[in-house]
Amino acid sequence: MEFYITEFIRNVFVQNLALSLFLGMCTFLAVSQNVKTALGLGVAVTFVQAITVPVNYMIYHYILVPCGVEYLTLISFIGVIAALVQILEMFLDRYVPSLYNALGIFLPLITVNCAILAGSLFMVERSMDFGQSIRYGFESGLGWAISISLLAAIRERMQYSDVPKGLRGIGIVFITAGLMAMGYMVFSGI
Amino acid sequence: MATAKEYKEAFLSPLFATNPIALSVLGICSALAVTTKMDTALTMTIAVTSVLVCSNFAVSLIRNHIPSSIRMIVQMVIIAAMVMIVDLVLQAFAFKLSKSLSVFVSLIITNCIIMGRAEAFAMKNPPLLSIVDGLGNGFGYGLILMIVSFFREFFGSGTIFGFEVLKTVNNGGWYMPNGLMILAPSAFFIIGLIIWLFKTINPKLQEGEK
Amino acid sequence: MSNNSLFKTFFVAIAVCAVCATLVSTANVVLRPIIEQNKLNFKRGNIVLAADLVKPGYKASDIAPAFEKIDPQVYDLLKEKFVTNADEFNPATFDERVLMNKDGYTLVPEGEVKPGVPTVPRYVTIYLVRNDKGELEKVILPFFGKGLWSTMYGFIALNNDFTTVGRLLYYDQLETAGLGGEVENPMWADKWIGKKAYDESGKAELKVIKGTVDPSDKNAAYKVDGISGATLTCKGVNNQIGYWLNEYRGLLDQLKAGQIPPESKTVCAQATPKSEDNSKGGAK
Repeated sequence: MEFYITEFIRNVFVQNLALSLFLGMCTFLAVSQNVKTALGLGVAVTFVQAITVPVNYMIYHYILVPCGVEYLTLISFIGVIAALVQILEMFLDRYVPSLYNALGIFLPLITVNCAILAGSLFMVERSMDFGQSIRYGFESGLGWAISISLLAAIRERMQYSDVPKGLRGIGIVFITAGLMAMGYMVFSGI
Repeated sequence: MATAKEYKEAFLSPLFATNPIALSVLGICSALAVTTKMDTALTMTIAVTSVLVCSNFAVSLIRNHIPSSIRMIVQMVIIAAMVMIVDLVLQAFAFKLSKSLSVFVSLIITNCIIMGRAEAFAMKNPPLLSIVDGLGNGFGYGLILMIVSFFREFFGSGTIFGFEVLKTVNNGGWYMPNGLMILAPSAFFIIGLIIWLFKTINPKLQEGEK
Repeated sequence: MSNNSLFKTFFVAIAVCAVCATLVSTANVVLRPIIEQNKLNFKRGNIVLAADLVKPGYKASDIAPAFEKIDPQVYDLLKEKFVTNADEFNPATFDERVLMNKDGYTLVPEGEVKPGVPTVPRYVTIYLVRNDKGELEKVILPFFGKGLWSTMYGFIALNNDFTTVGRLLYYDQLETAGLGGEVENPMWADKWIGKKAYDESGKAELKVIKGTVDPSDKNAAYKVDGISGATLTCKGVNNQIGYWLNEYRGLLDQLKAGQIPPESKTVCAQATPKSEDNSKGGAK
């Protein structure tokens, strides 16, 4: 049990995709203008991450490795992610329209989100087993979602503060993210 | 035919005026993650620049023949192929560096600078000009990477390119390295400060109330 | 012809794919041997470094001649004996990291000190170094375990009294760069040289302490300076070393008693090469 809790904390906070590994930064900075969209994107990322990491695990271990073509890992992962996002979009549109309306516009954005690709690549690099890859996909996506929602909340409040002229806009967002990253370091217990 | 001025413009403007990282906020992920050491930052710059130049060139070469319906996927395939080749070359000739860059070389594939330049520039301009634009953006990206990694390595480990400048306590010297510089937050701070600097020097870029 | 006609769309798509596929495959075929050589050199380089056959900062060309003097042996941790049947595992290519998660090839760590990973491999490769007369000079033992974030892999070399540390090094870890990552710093690795692994009663005593070792301490030989800012990584190091030194006691007793297996090269020469050992599968 303790093993799973440590793993959870590590995947969600300590090795947070956004704030300690800097992944999915483009969307992280661009789509954190308000909490509602940020939350929507966060949920979508968690969802896609939780599906793609295990699927890519199977592709890697049951197709690429037996065939000895590990050097095609990258292109297969990208393809799988793009295809899965596409399928997911159509599936949601057809069967869960309410969810589609909420997440729909974010799904295409996810294909180019490096956090998703990195999740699968880390799965290979850290030689996870299948169970671990399921947990990792979900937990790392969750960590990303939490971070972007928090950042969006802070940015909403920041509209009322007096920021130096040159720092307005993206500059202050970096500083804020830096401070958040420091906060996350608490979990690492150094 | 493109004039000399256009070439100069294509090369110089991404260095400062439209710097991909500081001002267009593209390709941030790798800029932050590989900057704890200067040699990894330099390797990353070279990798990104070469992918950018090659993909710009290739896309521009066939720009008049790409059907718009599969435009994105064609660009993606070209970029992916370049990234895989660069990854293999790094593993073959700079094994230790490629180990420390870990997945970030592969992640060039999702680096928005490359996709962005292919879409915004190479699709509309002739091959030579696109190469120059690729070089300019690659160097603009590299410039920020080098600045960030300089501060992080110098204060974080007391070295520059792995050469010892400040003798650290761990190695029997006097300098107590600032551990925070090596960790994630400092990268955010340094880029934030660089953006501040850029915008103060060039007030035109400042954003109004949002 | 319009760019958007069905024919042209297909043609461009296929042409682009064909060109890219050719480029990538060519690069892979040309560069793969170099990459494999790099991987092998990386592993062997660390072994010869641990054996003190090369100095830190060695060149790639130094590795092959130095590795000639190394005699790899596969050791069964469960039965506590060497696997002398080279048909089963070829010591030259055996890699315990490939078998680490395979059923039937793992053990669950027991005892007071645990390495922090759920299972450890049952078979490991250890490396013997002989001098010109064929006497055993050093034994290099692999060990690994959890640090703060990552699984850390290292080698510990013991001199032929089987307790003095020849060298200890980590070659693969993803600890915090600059803090825990300093375990790879050669300056720190040098501090292990000459330390004692076991006390008189044969108990594994070697550990990293917090701060610096007081030279007047009568137990100073069992203690190594800690790394500042890396308390939890050092705790992981202690667990790994404690566990593995304990685990290797049976092996070292055998070597002490002179039960040294024949050189694997001579054994391998007679054995039939087997393709399904672990040279494949990305020994990362």
